[in-house]
Amino acid sequence: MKTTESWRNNKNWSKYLGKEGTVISASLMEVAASDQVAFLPYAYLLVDLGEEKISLMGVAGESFEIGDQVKLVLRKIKKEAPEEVIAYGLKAAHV
Amino acid sequence: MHTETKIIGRYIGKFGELWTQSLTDLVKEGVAGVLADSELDPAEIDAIFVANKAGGSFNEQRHLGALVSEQFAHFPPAMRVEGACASGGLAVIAAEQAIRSGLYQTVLVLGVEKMTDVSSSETSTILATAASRDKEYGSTFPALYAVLANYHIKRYGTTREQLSSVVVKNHHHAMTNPAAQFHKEFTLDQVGSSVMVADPLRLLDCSPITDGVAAVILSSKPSSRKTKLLGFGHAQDTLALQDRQDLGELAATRIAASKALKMAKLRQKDIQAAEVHDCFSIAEILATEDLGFFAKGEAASAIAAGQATYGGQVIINPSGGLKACGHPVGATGVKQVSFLSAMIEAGQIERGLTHNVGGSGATAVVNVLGI
Repeated sequence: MKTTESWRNNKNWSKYLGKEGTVISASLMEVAASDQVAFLPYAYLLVDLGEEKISLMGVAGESFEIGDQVKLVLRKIKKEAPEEVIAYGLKAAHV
Repeated sequence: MHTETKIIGRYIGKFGELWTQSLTDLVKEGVAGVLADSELDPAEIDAIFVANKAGGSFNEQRHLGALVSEQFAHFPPAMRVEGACASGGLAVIAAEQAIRSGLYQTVLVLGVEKMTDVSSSETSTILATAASRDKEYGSTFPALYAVLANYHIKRYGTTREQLSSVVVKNHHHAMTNPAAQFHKEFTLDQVGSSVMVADPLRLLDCSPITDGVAAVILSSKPSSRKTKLLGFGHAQDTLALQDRQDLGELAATRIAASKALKMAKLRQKDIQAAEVHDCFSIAEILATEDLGFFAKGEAASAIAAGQATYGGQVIINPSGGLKACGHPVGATGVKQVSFLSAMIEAGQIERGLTHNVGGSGATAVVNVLGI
């Protein structure tokens, strides 16, 4: 994720942060792309927020089941970029 | 006026981790192989469609149309077609559409991918570019299909053993395919105890990283070859899983199959063998349901009961599929057509169907072949 891309995504944080929803489906990952290897194991989830559905990473180390209640939190989402920018983004955590 | 399109040349190179061959070497092998099979004068090739997903990322080589065209003294017009893992199937229907339009009579379709020159985590990163960058950041394709698998398990009661039965069957089929990446059989227990990738999908549930080339030549000219392209269908869905209407199916597959079978004037029961997109074990279960071979929620038990192999209802993935034959992404859809054409020419079947998927189901292509 490039610095500008991260900055564009930051504009969505206020819309989603703190929202709660229900897990539609999820998987606990043991293998990831190079930018996310440091967070393994982590889950990838589809979440029903009511007015819309969203897919996102779970917080590191937590596993999720269909039907679990989750809230959206701010966490690091990739390893540090060569520009030394630390990229944060939305992740799901258990309520 | 177009009357029919036949497959008048075909070639599948050995799939695998091909240390000694570069992307260009694979292109040269594919061109030479398919021309030799067709016995055509190379000057008869009117145009070329090249299927490749990510040569720019894997090999730092783009402009693949020109790379293939320069293998010919007359430099036929060439273009690359990209639809992620469905690139091969899309290139075949692009060629068929060009022939049907009357623009060309004889067209080469070459699918190629050279994937093993980068690390596995780099490969995951490159393959993940076929998912939605904005909506699915942090996912991988095993994770996206694992999400689909867990949904299927919850809704239809699909079991670990049923997922494993897909893998056992396809590795068994690959034993008789000399081009296959793997000639090794596995037991249900071995599949179910292999290393976890994305729960519930384990290493042996996943298609491998593969180098390979496949090619076919389509022509509207009279030919003694038997295989005709009877119909094709192409459909799209949302790029991201979160926007799908129903996670229990890949709707694009269902729509593409309906279009292709309608054009071919055939029904599912007329198809004797199908090469379907089993990038993961759950993908074959979804595919055989969405293609209409088995009712929704019943494919897993049917496959486990032997209904998707020789002597069953329909032979699914006689080549070994992506799982055991290998999955050189851009080449896969072309390989599927080439493999079933070989079965038809050999008199093993009279009608076959190919099914090629891009991403987690955002693109689906179905081709129907027959005599």
